[in-house]
Amino acid sequence: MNECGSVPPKPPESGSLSVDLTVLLPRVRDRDEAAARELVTWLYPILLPVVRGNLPQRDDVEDLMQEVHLKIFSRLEQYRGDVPFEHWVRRLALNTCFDRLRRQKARPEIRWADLSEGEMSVLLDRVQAEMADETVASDAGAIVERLLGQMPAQEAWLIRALDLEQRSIADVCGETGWNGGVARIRAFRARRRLRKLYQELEGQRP
Amino acid sequence: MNPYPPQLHRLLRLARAGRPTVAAPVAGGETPPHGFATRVAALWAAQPKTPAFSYDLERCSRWGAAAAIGLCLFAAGLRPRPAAPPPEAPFDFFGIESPGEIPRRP
Repeated sequence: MNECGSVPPKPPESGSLSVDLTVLLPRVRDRDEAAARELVTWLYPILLPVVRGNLPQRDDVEDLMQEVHLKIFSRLEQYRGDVPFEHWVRRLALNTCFDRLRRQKARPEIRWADLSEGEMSVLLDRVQAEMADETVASDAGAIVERLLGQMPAQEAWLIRALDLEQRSIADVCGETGWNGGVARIRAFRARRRLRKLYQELEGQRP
Repeated sequence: MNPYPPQLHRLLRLARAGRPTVAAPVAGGETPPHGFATRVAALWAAQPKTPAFSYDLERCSRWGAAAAIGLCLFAAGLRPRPAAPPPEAPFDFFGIESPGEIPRRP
């Protein structure tokens, strides 16, 4: 399982940082390597949670971080300042992760017979939600992650954001750059797919 | 409105309860590994610089392609259906007899 289970934290406020982007970005655009190093050091803590939260299996964080940074540098000319720079880089990082996850074709199917005893009890309603302890929550989380593992990367991310982290559509739009309508349609499709996968799993119940 | 059946809703609620919370990153809290910034900067410097106008050109090309496709579809929608060809009078080499005016044998 990848490290998708973690809740992506909000980016740090640009005001709290000592880097002046209005000076740094033009220097990087002028191919100043020292400025590029400074920008990498500044970007690293912003991008790391995004990459860690959407890291494909068997991929190395540092490799993906390097790819994300290089993509940001190569597209720096396209940044027009219509959104905050932190949002723009997070979107690029997220889309790079989606591209990598898309390439990861293997989506192991979840079968009833493969579930652990604890996971089965969760599905068989033997545990009351109010009485749930950490183990039960962890079993439930494992089932959900296995279901999400069968879905396209973008849809799985959307379910995590909306239904597990309970973030708003506006928040999702801010992070991805989608408009509200697109996000709602994608959420509808993602939920429909999750429902179908769950029903397929339920159908295997003895 | 809940988009899920009750069992799935309950499963998601349980999964939500077990999710770890991660603190917001602190500026300077996570530093890149030693040499990472230098390596990225060097790799980037080794790449050929893309001219700034190429992005505008790319963007214009995309919009142009989309507009062209839209225009083609619009034109295809407006195109009148071809009418059935008029019946030609046999042996009317000079166009004297128009359709419907073929003299009948008494």
